[in-house]
Amino acid sequence: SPEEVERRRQEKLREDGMKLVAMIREAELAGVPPEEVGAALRYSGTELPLPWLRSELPAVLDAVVEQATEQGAGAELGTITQQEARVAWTQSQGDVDEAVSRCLSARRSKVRELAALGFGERGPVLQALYQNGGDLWGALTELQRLQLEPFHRRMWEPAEPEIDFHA
Amino acid sequence: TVQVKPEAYPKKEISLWVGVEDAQMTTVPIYLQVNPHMTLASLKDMVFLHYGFPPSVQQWVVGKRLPGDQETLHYNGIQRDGDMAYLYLRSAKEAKLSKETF
Repeated sequence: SPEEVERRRQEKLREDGMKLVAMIREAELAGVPPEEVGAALRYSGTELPLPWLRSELPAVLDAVVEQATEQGAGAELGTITQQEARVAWTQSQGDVDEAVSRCLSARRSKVRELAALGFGERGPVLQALYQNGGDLWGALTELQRLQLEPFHRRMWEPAEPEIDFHA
Repeated sequence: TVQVKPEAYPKKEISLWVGVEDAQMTTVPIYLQVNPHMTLASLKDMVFLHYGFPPSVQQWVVGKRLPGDQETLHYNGIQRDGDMAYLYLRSAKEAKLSKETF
């Protein structure tokens, strides 16, 4: 009967929801955000997202890194990091192709932003981004640190010799 | 009861434009990511951590003021992206510092 169908549909909604809540609760205890659980489920259909994230995700992220780095080479976007791949993969809910293009557009905007702040030379910018897992502020801090090097030198310098009026 | 206006406590970090200077009269502009509600003392610690300048050589200037260590940036008028401050770096000798103490 239609009532029976409707009842089952609602029952299924409730059960599925409960299951997912249990997974999210378990993940939270392990320090894994709900979005990553969702992405794992979408990508692999696994019943056990936590072990899957631990054992299988690194290889997926490697693939994202490799493809994004390759596709970004022409535009000199540098080597994409695992951290950037992870963010992009999670945002794209497990879709690898979308993750690759998200990685690239995020990289492009970081490079553009650093250029606007006066760091237009691509080599040091890409190195700073790589060393900071793609983090914009981390990279900026590193680049600025280099810029402030002369201040350190001067800071420890002995004070100017006194002017000798008898010379 | 005391009610705190939400806008009085923005959690958002802002980017602060900082002109770094010393006795040599050159300004190097940098940007720092700060929370307007941090105190000058914690700002100095952050700058030490990220840039290696000991807190005792850092003389901050915000507008016409030399802010005290326990004052917040917000109290000194730093509120949104692009707000400006100066960081004057004293020489280690003037600040009575030696490399051994660091």
